[in-house]
Amino acid sequence: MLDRRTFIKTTLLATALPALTLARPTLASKVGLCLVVDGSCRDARQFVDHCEVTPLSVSDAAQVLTVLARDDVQRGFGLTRDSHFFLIEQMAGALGYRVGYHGVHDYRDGSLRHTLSGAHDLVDGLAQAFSVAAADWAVPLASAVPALNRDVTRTARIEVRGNSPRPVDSGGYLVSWCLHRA
Amino acid sequence: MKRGAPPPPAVVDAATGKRALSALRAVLGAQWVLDASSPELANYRDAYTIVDVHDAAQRPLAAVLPADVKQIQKILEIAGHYKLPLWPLSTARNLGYGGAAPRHAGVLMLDLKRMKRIVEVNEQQAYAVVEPGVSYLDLHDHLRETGSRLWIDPTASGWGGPLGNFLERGVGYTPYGQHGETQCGLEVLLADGTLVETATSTETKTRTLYRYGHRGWIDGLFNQSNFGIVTSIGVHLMPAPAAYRPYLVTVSAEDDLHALIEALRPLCLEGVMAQRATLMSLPRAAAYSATRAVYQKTAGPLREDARKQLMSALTLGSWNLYGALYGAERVMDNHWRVLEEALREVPGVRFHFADTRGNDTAFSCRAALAGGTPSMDEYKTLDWVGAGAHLDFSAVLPFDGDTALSSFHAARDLCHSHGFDYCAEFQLEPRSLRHEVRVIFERDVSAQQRAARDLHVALAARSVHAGQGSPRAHLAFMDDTAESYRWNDNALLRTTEAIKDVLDAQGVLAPGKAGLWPGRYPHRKKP
Repeated sequence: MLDRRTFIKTTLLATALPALTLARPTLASKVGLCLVVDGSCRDARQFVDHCEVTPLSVSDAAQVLTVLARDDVQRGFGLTRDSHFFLIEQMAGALGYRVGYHGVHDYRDGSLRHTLSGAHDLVDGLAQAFSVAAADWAVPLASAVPALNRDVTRTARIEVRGNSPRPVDSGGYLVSWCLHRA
Repeated sequence: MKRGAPPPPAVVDAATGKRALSALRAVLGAQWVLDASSPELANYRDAYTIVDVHDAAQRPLAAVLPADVKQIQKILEIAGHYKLPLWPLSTARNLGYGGAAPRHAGVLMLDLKRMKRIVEVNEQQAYAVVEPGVSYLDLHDHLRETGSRLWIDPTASGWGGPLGNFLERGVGYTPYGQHGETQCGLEVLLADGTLVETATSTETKTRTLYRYGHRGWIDGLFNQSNFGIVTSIGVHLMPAPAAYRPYLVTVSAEDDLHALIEALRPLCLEGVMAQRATLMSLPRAAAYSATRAVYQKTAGPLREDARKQLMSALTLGSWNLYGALYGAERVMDNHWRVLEEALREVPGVRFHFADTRGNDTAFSCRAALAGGTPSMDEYKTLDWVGAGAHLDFSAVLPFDGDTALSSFHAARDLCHSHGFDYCAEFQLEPRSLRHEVRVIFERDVSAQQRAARDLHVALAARSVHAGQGSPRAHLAFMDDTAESYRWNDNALLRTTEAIKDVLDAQGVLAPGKAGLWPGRYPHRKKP
């Protein structure tokens, strides 16, 4: 199992060559998507269970970077802790990726607040789905991945609140994100 | 930029900038000149910005990525011709002090990350020579892959590199953690293109063995300064010990810091604690694995009940000393006996080893660093506030209980009055303590950015009042920090300005770095 530092090392290798193309993939991606998850809590596990594509674990980070660097991959989508997202965003930025969608899923004061920014129609639909799904919000998030996975510019910011207690195994703060190549 | 200071002059006009970039493309190739049309130029910024107008105020003209010394010499020639300021970067990963941003807009970022040769590793004499783009992860992996018996001394985040860390007076956590003592020999390009080797130059083949050479010792001039561009550095490496044993010492009551520091001083002075151990406050240590909202739902600093919950859940104390023993088992056993006997007198002390800290992220991260293995787990501490960033403030104190306790009280109260937890550590030197306050704030929340900045100003003012020097400064506070060293009518600043004017007559190297401005900038104090 590769760890976070291995990911960073591999990423540094890539970012040292910003104008070059990394090795071509031997296996083409079916969807042009790199899906990443930090599966250490209930919400993330639920997300994994309902994804059509098997996500990469953020702890297998070297593979995450390798996939993001492939020519045929134009998008990255993740449900992770913010510190994971920050490092991936920093490193993927040097590969030409920019944030097209960003969601914060924050348990606070016994409630759950989703703050979503992205293309208006997408985040609007997601917000409605989260309102219905309540504690099971990760299910519609997984269903929405194909829709979120398109070239968008962040244009809208929507906040949704619900009454969902924090799962006991969660730090109470996850982010979902979509990166696309500029 | 200094608060209240006039804006810097327009660096070069658009037409001049265009001509300069054209000349640079001819030297480097177009792909290694990133201008405003390149999305990658956006990466030269402070990812943890605390300045509301950050992007406009710090947007560079362009970035260049040279491959070697000869290309830098050409860049210097062009920069001198057009009076185009350069801002050199190595790995640019010290995000708590400004990251990859320059001091002001319009400069040319001189990004040295392509220069990542590990020039030499000498197994017998235990040193390495590396270029600016080599990270701690690179060097560590190179040593492991080649079967070396040498350790690096990594700083807290492994994507940083030895050259930048040493030059900025960063620290490590093994017995080689005081990097000023293990830096040996620099290769430096001056603004006029002259290449200088310091220490005992390579002609004597002892450049990386004995740092003083002949005549004045000038290496220190290139630390935290803008007198030249360091293109390689010699670093001493630690021969792997027979074994090492990381430990954690916890103390339950905050004010028992006094007794703890008094007990630690002789151990550090006498070399029983050879390693650069780190003493962390409760929130600082807890942040590796906890989110504060789980323990306290309301904003503001942690209340006592939340603190107690944290201490119980994570088996931490109000103070948490992360250290390690090194050497043969019986040597470590003897050192531990001395250490334990001294610390047992501290009320509420408890001792912990790896066998009882299985899933403890803080312990495993600190143990890795103490064992010469770079880590990126430091970033997990930013999950403390959800989407966190950090701003760091450092001050050097005498190693005594009274000063440590009063400094802790003052910093804690300032943190709390600004709405932040006291996330801080004392780094132990033989004769001094480096008190580093890590302000963890919510990234991209402007009220939090302002509060963090205000807290930094307050911490700095208190330190100056207490006579405690700050050994490094964030980009936004470099002028203030430089001015705090004002003894004898700013004699130190005037001396360094005189050197600057001689070594960089055109004033093109990193204007404003460490509060040192070229004479043509209005920030320069008039005599």
